[in-house]
Amino acid sequence: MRDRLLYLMLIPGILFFAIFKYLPMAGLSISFMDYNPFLGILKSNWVGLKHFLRLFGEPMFFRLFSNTLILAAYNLFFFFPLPIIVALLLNELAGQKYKNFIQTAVYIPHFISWIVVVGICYTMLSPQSGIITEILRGPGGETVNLLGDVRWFRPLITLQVIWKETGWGTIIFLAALAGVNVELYEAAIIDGANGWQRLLSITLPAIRSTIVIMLILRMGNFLDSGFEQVFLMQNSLNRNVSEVFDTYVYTSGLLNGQFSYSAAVGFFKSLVSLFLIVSVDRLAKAFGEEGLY
Amino acid sequence: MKHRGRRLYIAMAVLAVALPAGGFASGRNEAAPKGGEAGKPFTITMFSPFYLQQPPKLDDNKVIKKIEDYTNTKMQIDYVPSANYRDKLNVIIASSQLPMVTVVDGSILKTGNIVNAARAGMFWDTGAVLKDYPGIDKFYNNGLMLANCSIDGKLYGLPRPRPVGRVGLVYRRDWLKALNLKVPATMNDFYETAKAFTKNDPDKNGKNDTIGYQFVDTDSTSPSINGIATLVCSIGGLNYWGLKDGKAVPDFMTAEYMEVLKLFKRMYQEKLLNLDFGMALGSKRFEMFNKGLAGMYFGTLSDVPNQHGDLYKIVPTAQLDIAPALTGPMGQRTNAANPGHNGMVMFSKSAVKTEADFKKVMDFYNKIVDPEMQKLMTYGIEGIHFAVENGQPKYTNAKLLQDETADFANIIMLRPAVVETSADNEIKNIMNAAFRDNEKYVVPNIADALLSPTAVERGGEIDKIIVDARVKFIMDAVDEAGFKKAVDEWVGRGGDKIMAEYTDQYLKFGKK
Amino acid sequence: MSRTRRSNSLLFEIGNRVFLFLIAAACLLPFLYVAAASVTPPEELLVKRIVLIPSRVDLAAYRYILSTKIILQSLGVSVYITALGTLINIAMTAVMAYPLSRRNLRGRRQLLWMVVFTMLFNGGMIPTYLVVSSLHLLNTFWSLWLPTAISAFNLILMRNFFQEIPDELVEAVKMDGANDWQVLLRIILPLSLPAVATFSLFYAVGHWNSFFNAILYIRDTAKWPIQVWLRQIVLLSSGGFADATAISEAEYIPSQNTQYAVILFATVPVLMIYPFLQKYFAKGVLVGSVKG
Repeated sequence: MRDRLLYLMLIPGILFFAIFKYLPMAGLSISFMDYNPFLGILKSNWVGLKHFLRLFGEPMFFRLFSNTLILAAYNLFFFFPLPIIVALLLNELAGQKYKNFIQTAVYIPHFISWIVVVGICYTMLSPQSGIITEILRGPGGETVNLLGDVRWFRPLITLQVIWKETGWGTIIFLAALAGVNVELYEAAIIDGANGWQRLLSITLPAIRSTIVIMLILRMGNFLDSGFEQVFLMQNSLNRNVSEVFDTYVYTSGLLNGQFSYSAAVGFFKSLVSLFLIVSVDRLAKAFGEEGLY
Repeated sequence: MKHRGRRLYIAMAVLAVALPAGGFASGRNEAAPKGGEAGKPFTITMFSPFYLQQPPKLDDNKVIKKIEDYTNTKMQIDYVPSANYRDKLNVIIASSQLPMVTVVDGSILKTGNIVNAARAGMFWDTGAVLKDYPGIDKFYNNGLMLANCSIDGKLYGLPRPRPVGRVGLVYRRDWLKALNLKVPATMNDFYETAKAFTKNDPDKNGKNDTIGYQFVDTDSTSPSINGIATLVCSIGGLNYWGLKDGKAVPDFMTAEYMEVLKLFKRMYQEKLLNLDFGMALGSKRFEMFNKGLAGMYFGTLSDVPNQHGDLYKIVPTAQLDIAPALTGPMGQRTNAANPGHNGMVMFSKSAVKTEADFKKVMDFYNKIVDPEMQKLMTYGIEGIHFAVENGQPKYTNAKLLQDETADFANIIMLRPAVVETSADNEIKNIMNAAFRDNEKYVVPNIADALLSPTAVERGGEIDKIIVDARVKFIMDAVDEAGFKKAVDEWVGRGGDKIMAEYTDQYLKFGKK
Repeated sequence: MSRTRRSNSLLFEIGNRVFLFLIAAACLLPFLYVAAASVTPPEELLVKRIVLIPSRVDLAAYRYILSTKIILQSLGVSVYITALGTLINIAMTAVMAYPLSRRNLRGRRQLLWMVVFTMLFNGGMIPTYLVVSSLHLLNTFWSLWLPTAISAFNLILMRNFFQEIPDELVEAVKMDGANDWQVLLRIILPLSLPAVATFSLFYAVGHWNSFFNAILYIRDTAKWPIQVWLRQIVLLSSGGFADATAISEAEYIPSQNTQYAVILFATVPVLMIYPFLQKYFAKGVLVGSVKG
């Protein structure tokens, strides 16, 4: 067979996925049971769609869904383009040393834990003694409470993510940019193309496939909200907008050992992500891109 | 089986006499008779969380060795960081790899997982045989705690006692003196003290920068530190769940609760407490107090000796004290009770296979409660951890003792709820005295002893409705009608079932 | 390797440098705060809240971390886990990505679909544990390397990079008699250095920061990576999430600023590795090798 070697090369990977991903998938069935680790999968009661019905019957369900989606949308529109833009700008830098310095500096926030980030945010914005709160104190001495303000929750979350993850996100795009043939640039300069034209005709097309793939992959965890961050920023005043699937599952599922219910919520999220990935992939192919598969 | 058991008892009795009397230089079990099964140390496998930066080392640990020799056992302990204990416990249960002794702490004990397993017979019933072990039986002198650990009225392990009267009011004694006030004894005193602390410049620095009460109330912090239960009890209300007209009822449905909320609302408006109480990060809850800017807080009294190191560095003259149990309008003293335990050690039938083995494990614990073992775990070994001065033990290396034994002694072994040592400093003595005193006035939370599947299933979720409503009420974002609406929502989303289930359980098992 | 570089207007160059500098400053400032806080006496931190230059350097947090005897040993363990783990990751990911990047491979779509599916659906912690346990991998380092050997996300991206390499190159080499294995080693990988560097970094950071799998699968505490101990220290020092009813009278709690010191432990190793990788992100690193 012509591609025999290729198929041989695939074997370790396929084994990996079969054993460590597909075999445990039998565990998805616990969302259809009243799973008890003590009894095990085989002996726990089968309850069919009970947990899903409970989820959809939750008065909070619609709120959870919309909160999760809106937060994800904020992330998509305001965060997703930024690593690309910053990577492009970095790419235009002349001096390699300066470029290295900036690169290193911008990815450092990725390593600062959410507890510290939110802690700094609290120090700035606490209604009791926050530094920025004191600056923003109203004319009558009213306290501004951004942490409890429903209108500020999503912007704050998004700003925090932008600060923390933009730099780290540039890495993959820098790798893509490094693969662009430099001679194309040289030829374009000789032809008199300016920076903007070079961007549009050489750079962007070269990294277009990376951008598209990243976008499609992003759909795969669209409903994941970054549990730790949201949990820390959530409070009684902003609960209306801050309760998302991940925090909901934490209280009603994981804390009390409700395995089946949390599995059911996870399964639901997976189904939605599946729908999103397939849709965005089709969309990309309609635009002439190669897509995911 | 009975014969083996008896020979074991004899062997252990011999050891018990030989060891303290003759001592032993080095090496294991020199005094043990050679050969024969009765002489071999019994291996006990254990699974436990650890809370300090490292689990206690098991090899070359003289304290553990002494215990092993005294009880003729060999202990094999698997440790897991406390934060991940629950997850590891779940996989261990799922893979049927439970060891003989498992630590099941208070937050896991009543979850569906453990309860169903206990009901299905996964753990040995210790309650039924408690009277055969006089040491343990006598050790457990708190009926409330035993009741709180039971599942369907039965005891499936050995409870780990903790102070029952663990929550109280902590205040700055130096501020009280500076303003010539008396110790707050009622809810009204609390309010007046908070007001004085806020407005009358108790630290005499000319600035109006203090608040009376450091308040924390979020859904992720324990309700025992928001002071509400303490105040509600002090005016005759319930400690979270109580009995009214023969039915189990939560405190937020009562008039006393609303009265306390109104007090906090007033305090919020008058800025007698910190305005960010509803969004505090748990780790920052002592920030204002430790900066010397707050005068009081309600909290777990165990925190008092070790959470305020920074305060003393910033304000060396600060003095802390604990208010005695508050007095109510009819002269009654109350203290909102803690469950009195932090779960149990439970013995799995899959690892402790026979009754004989079960007896050996129970014997082990029966010996652990002996005064000699208890003293060993409190003070350590003479010459290494403490020295005797004027007839009293005095620590020479307390940190070593903590590293070597704390995560073992306090977590797996049976210790009394309140351990007082001769090394206790002033604030620790105050704390221990408060523990002992509070115990006389405790008002139990009846739900601690009861089970409700609906509470497990959705209790956490619907409790958030109440927390949110009261935080908003205190901040004047909703009014009393709004709060009542939240209570109705709580009832409609499962609260009614919870009340019914608790009532049902109370009638069956609660009344003893 | 010289590169002709006159391309943008001076205005853009200056503006770009300034703009990027501002971004870098915004990213660095909080980090400088974290670094400063890790050596600031805790009571000063409490009072002043934000400190960039402490009044005196207090190394108590670092001393505390290093006094935990097992920390240095676990550091070695972490290095070992990261080094070998990353090697396994890259080997397995590249070897699988290459065939998937050949557009004419039969069954490619189905295989990719199978991979994507695993990104969406996850059996969960308990079933995965049961699989690892039944393979007798418990308490070995393999339980840390094998279940996470290939990240579907990285696999798909790497395949994408491999796909970008011009087919003519591959054809040319094959006509000279090379088989696919040689194509991978001699053409694809050398031309994909930026990608290999990127995913090595991703995998390495993943290993370095991992702790949960070690706790789950490994009983022997001597084999635990450093993050297990660091996280425990942070928990102990913040006292926030610690269950107050458990360890009651713990004395000698580490100071509040220990969590900042811990962050440096996580960051500094990456800061040390990245400069070595940066040269792979330089533009035109592939010039000269693409002639055909």
